[in-house]
Amino acid sequence: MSLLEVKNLTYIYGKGTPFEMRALDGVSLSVEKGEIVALIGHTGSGKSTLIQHLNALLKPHSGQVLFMGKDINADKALTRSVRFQVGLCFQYPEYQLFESTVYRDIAFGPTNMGLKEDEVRAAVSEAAAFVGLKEDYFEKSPFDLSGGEKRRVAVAGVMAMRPEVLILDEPTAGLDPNGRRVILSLIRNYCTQTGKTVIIVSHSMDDVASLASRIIVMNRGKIAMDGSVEQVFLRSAELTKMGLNIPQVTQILLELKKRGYAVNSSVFTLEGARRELLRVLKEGGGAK
Amino acid sequence: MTNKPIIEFKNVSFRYDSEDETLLPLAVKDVNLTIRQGELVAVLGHNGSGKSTLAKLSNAILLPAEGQVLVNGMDSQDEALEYDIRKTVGVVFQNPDNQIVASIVEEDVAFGPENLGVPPAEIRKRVDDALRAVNMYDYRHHEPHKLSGGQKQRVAIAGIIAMLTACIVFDEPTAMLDPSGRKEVMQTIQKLNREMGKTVVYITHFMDEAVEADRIVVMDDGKILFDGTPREVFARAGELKAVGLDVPVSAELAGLLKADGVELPNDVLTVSEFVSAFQKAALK
Repeated sequence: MSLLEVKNLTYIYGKGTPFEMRALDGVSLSVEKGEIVALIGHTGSGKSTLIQHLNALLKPHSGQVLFMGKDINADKALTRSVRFQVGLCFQYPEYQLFESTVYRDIAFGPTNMGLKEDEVRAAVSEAAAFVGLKEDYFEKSPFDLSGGEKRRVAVAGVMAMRPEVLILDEPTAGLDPNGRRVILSLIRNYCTQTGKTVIIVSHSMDDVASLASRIIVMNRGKIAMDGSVEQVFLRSAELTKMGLNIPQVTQILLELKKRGYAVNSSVFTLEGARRELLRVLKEGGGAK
Repeated sequence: MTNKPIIEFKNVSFRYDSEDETLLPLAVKDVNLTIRQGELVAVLGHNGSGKSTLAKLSNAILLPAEGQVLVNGMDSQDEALEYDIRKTVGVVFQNPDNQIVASIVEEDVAFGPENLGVPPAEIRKRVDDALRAVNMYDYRHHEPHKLSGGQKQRVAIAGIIAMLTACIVFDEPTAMLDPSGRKEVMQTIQKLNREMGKTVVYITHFMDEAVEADRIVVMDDGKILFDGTPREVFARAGELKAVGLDVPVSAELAGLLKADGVELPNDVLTVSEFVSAFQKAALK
């Protein structure tokens, strides 16, 4: 049994009006425990609509979403519990901070789950540690923090519910290079330390290549590709047609291959490209 | 470049007011910077380095606490010149949703020239020209909130074009857009500079976008750290990383391989440059 399963999901915005728009069209997928999945697709491809179904913020017009084998929309108690077990962190989550202190903001989720005070404290401390926020931040107002820090408080607020599945919608959008590096490395640590499932929506193929093991590509409300990072990035021509990119190092390797070098172009990270190019130089690489 | 200066910062410092009595640190410290007519200048710097403050100082949205900002020689401290300054330098911000004021695309674009008191017939022409320049003319009767992010940002840009400002300052205009939206906006900006002759100041976090500029200014802690061509600036990978920035991926890969002893030039910036440099190195 998969941890999360989507079966033949269809969702239509403005249903019954002249402006009907089929945002999801017969989408099926399953996610296993511990997977790190990247969801990519251009704006309007249905990514956000899909993730809002995964914790029942939207209800399917047809099809099902199963969490641990149960239909999450079957009864209200189940829906409520799934909202805590599938934690959704929206784009620009710092706009959703509202409490008077950092501690209270991170504690909002676990408190709502009905945890006791000491359990809440433990959950908040754990989540703050995941995002690298020291406890002396707890009594500060979240609005006095920098953009990157606010983002981390917001992510911690979702992690504090200890969800089985953590969904992050564009977690690095709008951050400077260093802010991006910090967020990516904390997500990586969270995955290794907890072994929990993470789904990350991203426009940055370099981020995707450095984090995920599997990529799902959405296009016009359908799943266009679903496979390993390697399988998906190999289809660069199709990705480009859908308004997407491949990592820049892969573009370099593909171009060298086209010019007759014996390079393996299924390399997606900087370090991998460095090793591959050194190998090519050492072995002569069939250079023209 | 010997063109006339359009924006001059002379020993400019600025500090934001705090809500209580405490004195906030200077956001911009003793900055000297000259932007010349026709230039495309990218401004880099981590969050909080003073980039956006610089943008707002450039058309009198903010006024310097010390020093002078001159726009075509007009001092921004002189309230009587405020309109003339804003007719010379326009600013496009990060979030398109915060910049759109009307419920129909063409009315939004007309908002700026209307406020400048431009006659109606002239407004009609300016709006049409501006929407054509950003490839949004077919959407002139659409509702802005139904457009994509890249489209909305192009409408915001059209609003500035319609004011016929000689210089446009962009404050992270692609931060909230997807790759195709970013491409649309970048192409529009290139066109404004290369074809329409506008002076462009372009604030960004994307190193690959900065490669396209004539000149890059790097801000750190309210001060200008570097000011030079993309090649000069991106050759300083170590120093850029130390202030929380990056270099383009191609430059970074070239740097790694150089450290491994591969003979590559110091100034590789793009995929195609990397590929030709690598071909040369492989022949050695």
